[in-house]
Amino acid sequence: MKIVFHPILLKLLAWRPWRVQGSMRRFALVWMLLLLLGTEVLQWAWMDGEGVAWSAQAGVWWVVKLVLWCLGLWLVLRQTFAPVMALSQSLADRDAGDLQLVSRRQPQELAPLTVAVNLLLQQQQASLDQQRKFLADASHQLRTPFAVLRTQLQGVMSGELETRATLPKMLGTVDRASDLVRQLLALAKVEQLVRGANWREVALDAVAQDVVMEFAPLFARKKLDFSLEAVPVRLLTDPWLLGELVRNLLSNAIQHTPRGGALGLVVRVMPSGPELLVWDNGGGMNEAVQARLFEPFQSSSGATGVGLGLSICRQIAVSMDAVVELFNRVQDDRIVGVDAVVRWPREMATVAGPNAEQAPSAAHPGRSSEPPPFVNGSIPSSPVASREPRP
Amino acid sequence: MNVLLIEDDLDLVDALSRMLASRGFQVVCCADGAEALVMVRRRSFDVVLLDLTLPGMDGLDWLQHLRDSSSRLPVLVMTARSAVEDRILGLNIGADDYLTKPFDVEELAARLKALVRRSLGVEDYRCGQLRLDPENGSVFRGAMPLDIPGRELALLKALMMRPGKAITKDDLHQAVFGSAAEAGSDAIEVLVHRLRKRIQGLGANLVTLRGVGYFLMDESQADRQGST
Repeated sequence: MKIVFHPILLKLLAWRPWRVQGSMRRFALVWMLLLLLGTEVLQWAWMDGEGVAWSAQAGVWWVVKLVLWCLGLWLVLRQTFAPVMALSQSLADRDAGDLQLVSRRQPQELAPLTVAVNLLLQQQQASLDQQRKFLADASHQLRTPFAVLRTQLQGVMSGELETRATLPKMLGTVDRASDLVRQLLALAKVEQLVRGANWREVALDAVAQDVVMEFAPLFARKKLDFSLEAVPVRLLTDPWLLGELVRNLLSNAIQHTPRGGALGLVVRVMPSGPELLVWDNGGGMNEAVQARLFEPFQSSSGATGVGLGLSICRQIAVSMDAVVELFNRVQDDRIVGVDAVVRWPREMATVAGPNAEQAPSAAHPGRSSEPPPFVNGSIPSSPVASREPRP
Repeated sequence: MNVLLIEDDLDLVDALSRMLASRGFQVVCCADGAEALVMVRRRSFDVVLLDLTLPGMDGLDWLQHLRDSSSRLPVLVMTARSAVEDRILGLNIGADDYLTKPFDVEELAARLKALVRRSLGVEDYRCGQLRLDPENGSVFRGAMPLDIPGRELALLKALMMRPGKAITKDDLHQAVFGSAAEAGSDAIEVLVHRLRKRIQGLGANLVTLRGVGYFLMDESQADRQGST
């Protein structure tokens, strides 16, 4: 036979008056009142209801009352704080990898703590997931060139691949692998430096010029038409970080610009703050992958890079409260290239140049009519259109 | 040229010594730092090629030992450590040049030759068919001295003395006109324009980096590296 309990009866059965349910404050208040009432009743019983006590009996009673009070208070407080102890015990007993959320069935006084702990656990889980994905991607990316090398080498050794044709490809594979290792190490160094936060004033225009000088052989080799237009801008950062940011953006632009194409770098101060623009003439990017390009190991179709450069750039930019974005530059309804823009907040620039509100004048007097390229999410005037072909 | 190669990776030693041998170097290999110090005392080498991570003794310590014994033997350090601090430390202790692994063997050979030439005091700078003799400061095309006006020559010399590196417009201005700033800012551009015409077809390409400076490129190197 099935016994059916009335819901009120069920509630009564589930009622555990000696356990905190709902509010710790209410629990403590109710039980202290009960304790007070209990002792009063006891006193009344002790005095046989006479109400008037002679002195010796009253002295004994006060001792008994004190002991009862202390005992009762200790029990009430122990029960009141039992949920706190249980929560800390359950957190302490966890394995390092256990990121399960804490139960939300806690007294209301513990709710803010539970929410904060859960938020922390969720963040930890997200960063762990991200790390796992990164590791999976990195191991794939690291193993692939070796797999390719091995196949190429075996092909050459068995005579199935032609040596003369395969060896240069193998050199390319090795270069790709070294590039990947360099970028992975750079990523680790960025993380370390961002945490170290040993920052000082760095001249963005000087850093940009140094990077350009370093890249000069690459420009020459690809016969690229390069120009730098820069006003003095000083930023509070780490010089290596800033150099790495410029290096990665410029390296991307060089990679995507065809032989004999044009690219450039502009440093200027806009009303919103200082800005670095790296523009190229490489035909633009696929807008479908645009949003994902800043994630690790994502590269646009046809790119030969490993896809860590922009991820490094974003990490550096975020560390300086800056924003880095990519835009397709449109000219005559046709995408002609990419503008990579880094914008710093006004406060980050410690000393702005004398022409602070202006874009830099063209480097060569003969080209002073040339407007600097800029995209602000809108269709820009292209620098390429007004550029003369190189002599 | 006698090269002492101090490196503990035997595969790299094998490949490097063969490739350097085919480029006219006599290579002696050694994988142990202490042994290498003894070899340096016993035999005469023109240049040392040193790996920084050695078993038993750190490459930088090795270099310190060598310099403490007041040896002026040129040392080219090669390492997988690319931190700038490591480079600076190496150069401060007395390395003459620095190459980060992985490297291009052509570049290694060129740098070794340049180091030896510099240590023998017969260093000259080459770019395409051009050769700069630092002794008398004249530029040759093959065996013939190049006949160009003084300021263009000064410009060419400044560019050739920084092989593989760009030079800023200000530095060029300083090198050509000195600190006297009577020449306008266009003067360098005019000179570059003239020089570019003059050295056309000589295997040297004068590249403009607008807003930054100039770069003299050896076209044979551009072709070789561009094709890989």
